[in-house]
Amino acid sequence: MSRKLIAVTACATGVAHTYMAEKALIQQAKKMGVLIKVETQGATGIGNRLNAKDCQIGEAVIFATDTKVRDSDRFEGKKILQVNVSDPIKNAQKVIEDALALADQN
Amino acid sequence: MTVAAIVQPNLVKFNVVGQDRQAIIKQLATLYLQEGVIGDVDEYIAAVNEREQEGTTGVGGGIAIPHGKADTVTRSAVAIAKLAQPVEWQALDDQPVEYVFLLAIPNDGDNEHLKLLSELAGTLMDDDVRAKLQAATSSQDLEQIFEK
Repeated sequence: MSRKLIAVTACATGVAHTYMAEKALIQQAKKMGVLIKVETQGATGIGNRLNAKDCQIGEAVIFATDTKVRDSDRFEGKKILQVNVSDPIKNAQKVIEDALALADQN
Repeated sequence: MTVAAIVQPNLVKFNVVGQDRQAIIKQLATLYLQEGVIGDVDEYIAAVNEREQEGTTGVGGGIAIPHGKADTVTRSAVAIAKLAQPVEWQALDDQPVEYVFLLAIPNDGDNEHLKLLSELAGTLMDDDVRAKLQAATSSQDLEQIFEK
């Protein structure tokens, strides 16, 4: 069965890096055979909003954010990997591996 | 609307000459002034530099996506430049930058155009798009990358 992650991306201006980090995570997850859903919190609002079911299914949450995550109470009790929005752009594989490792911790 | 709708031929330049990051930003900002995208070069550049100081906009693969959000910006736009010589940008992969996508973001921009800028930024992560950037030999080639 595929591993499942969820993520939120957000940057200060909310126009460029948020969406580059999203694409980087999606492309890398696909290469690794990991299922991922990425919510973008940008200047134009929230994209691909993570619903209650998504939050339940995700083994861990990646916050690739340089700003405060909106509606973060959805992720209460989840294992959260906090990184900078530029980290997935730089090395998405490491971010995903770290999130999977976090999910595997007891 | 598609990404192509925000790529204007007048704002796409091939073999731009500039010795460093600031020289390139200044040139593209001047281009914005000529095209009526901004009203004040200094105010716009100050906003771009403020963003640069928060963290590099050199995202790897020889690409930088500096951006300035300011009152002086009259409409959402992107200026695309292939540089004649790569310049240092403290990029995430420590490589010099050869392709610059300078975004102009109004403080009260409509969502539709902002979304196109975001979409364009996202496409820059595609291996396919990066390969096409490398293969481009003219400003027309650069424009065509985003016509899909």
